[in-house]
Amino acid sequence: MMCALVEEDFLQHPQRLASPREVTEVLVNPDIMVPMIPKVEWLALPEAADTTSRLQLYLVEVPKELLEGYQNKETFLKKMHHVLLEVDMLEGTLQ
Amino acid sequence: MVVEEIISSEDEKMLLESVIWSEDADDQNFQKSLKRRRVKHFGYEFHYENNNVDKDKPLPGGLPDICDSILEKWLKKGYIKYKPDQLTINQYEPGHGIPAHIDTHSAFEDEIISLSLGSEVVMDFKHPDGVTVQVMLPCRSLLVMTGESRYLWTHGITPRKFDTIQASEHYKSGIITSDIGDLTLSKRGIRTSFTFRKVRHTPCNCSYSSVCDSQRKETPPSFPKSEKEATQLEQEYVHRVYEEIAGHFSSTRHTPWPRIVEFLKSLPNGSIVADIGCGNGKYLGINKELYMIGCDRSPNLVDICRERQLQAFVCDALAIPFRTGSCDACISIAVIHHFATAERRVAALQELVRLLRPGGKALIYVWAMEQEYNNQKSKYLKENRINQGKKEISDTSTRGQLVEQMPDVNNQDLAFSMPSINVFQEEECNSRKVTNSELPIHTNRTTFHSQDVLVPWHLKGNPGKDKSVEPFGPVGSHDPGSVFHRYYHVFCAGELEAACQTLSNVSILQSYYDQGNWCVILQKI
Repeated sequence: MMCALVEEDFLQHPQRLASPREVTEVLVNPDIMVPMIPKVEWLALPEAADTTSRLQLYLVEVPKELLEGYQNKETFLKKMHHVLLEVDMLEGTLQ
Repeated sequence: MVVEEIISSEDEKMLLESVIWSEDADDQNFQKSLKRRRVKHFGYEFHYENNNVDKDKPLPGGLPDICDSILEKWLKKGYIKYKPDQLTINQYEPGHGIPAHIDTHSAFEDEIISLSLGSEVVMDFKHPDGVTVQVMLPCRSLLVMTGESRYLWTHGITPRKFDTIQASEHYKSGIITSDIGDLTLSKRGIRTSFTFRKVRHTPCNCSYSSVCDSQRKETPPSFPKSEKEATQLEQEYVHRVYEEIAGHFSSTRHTPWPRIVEFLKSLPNGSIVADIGCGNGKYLGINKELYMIGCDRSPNLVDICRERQLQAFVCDALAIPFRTGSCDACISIAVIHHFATAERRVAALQELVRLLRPGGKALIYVWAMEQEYNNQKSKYLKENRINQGKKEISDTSTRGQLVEQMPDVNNQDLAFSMPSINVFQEEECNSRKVTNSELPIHTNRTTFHSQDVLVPWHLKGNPGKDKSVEPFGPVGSHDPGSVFHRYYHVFCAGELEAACQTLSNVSILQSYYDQGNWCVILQKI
């Protein structure tokens, strides 16, 4: 789900992305997660995650917005870690 | 043209059952397991190494009898005009595909037909102008390609497990439009295609000479005179070659270069780093404290990265699908020298810098014209001395491995201007700029005599060393002696810096020479 970093075209049309996904466990590393949070596009991420849920391919709990003081919010970081690093889009269409 | 329901489901069942996919690779019907699908040939064997058939060697048995009667029926009904004499059966599992291609003009006659069985699929047709049309091929339909669709458009199947298709026209043939309201996903099943072709015995005289091998002038590639020629040169002498040699190439690339590792280790923890032209991903896992993502033009190399659980995707270095300013650092190792014009090399640098946030850094390595520096021969040249007496020398065995044997022999930072070398090199460079003729073929392990060269790659049939890497491409299709030529523009002293200086928003932090490469570390302002 690092797609939150990809180009504008995707960000404008996240609802068009629909894809099977794969979940792999990755060790939580706050040093990587914390600097990544400000780069997330909050418009695109929950929608993209929601698309995959609607297709019943995966249900994922995704924070809807940036949390104040996220640097120390362990649950928030864990959720973000999961959606960004552990959920991989295997395929998708951007039309 | 797609004819729907050309055969009954009973016939479909019969045809599918008639195909025996034996596990025995020596099966007499010339079954092969290609990378993404299984194939079987009848009538004539199709050779993937030259995309042609051996017209003097028909296979015993001809086409299966069951096909014969079906073909007769199609002829009578006018779906086809000629009776094919060659059959290729492909079996695609979900997720399999076939690269975009035009069937070799000189190999087959005009009419090529393909029967889809077992599962529907979306096939992509591409016109050389860039127009892409996605066509739904339903189960039990017959695709008939003649004229422009056979000779000019490429066709292929994207390897994926789902197709986006028209919701209202499900199970019907037709073109997929981008009307989002009417799209739905279709899960692919196992599809078996019967492709019938008629072997051609005379040279092709179609009116699409640009893509016709019979009408192609047999001239070796020359120095590109236009953007279009540069793109074609890169397509043929860079992209296609890496795709072909990916497995072997990867097996020779395992030792990271110390100064590149040093750069990656110097970045702050948590940095987002893009490796543009990541090859087999050997730098993607160097520093676990970074989030690294790679991309490469070669799908086969990206597949190797994925097998290694590294994050990588396919893209062109001139159009990277990353948001501007999203990366803290980028590396471009041995990539820019594959672009065939100065403009394209600068454009690639510009695209690299676009990804960086202000303050972000990029490390760039390109191959140097000078393989001798400060009176020291580079490892690339030294290898020749070591290997003297050996008959076959490929450039494949060395560039990575030697670092282990002789670390940092002649790594030296360069002062920004080097008068003595510059004078000598400028002369070299100028003489090269007027080059207008054929590209010379470089002799491996020797000094470069031209900046724009073709560098031979001796493909070894078996990657050998690295057991985790499967041999890619059709099994056994290349004899051990296959030679591929890769296009390189080797850089003169100062040339990389000069190219970087044409970008307005960067400063050069460092430039140095490392083992026959010119290297620069840039910072985005």
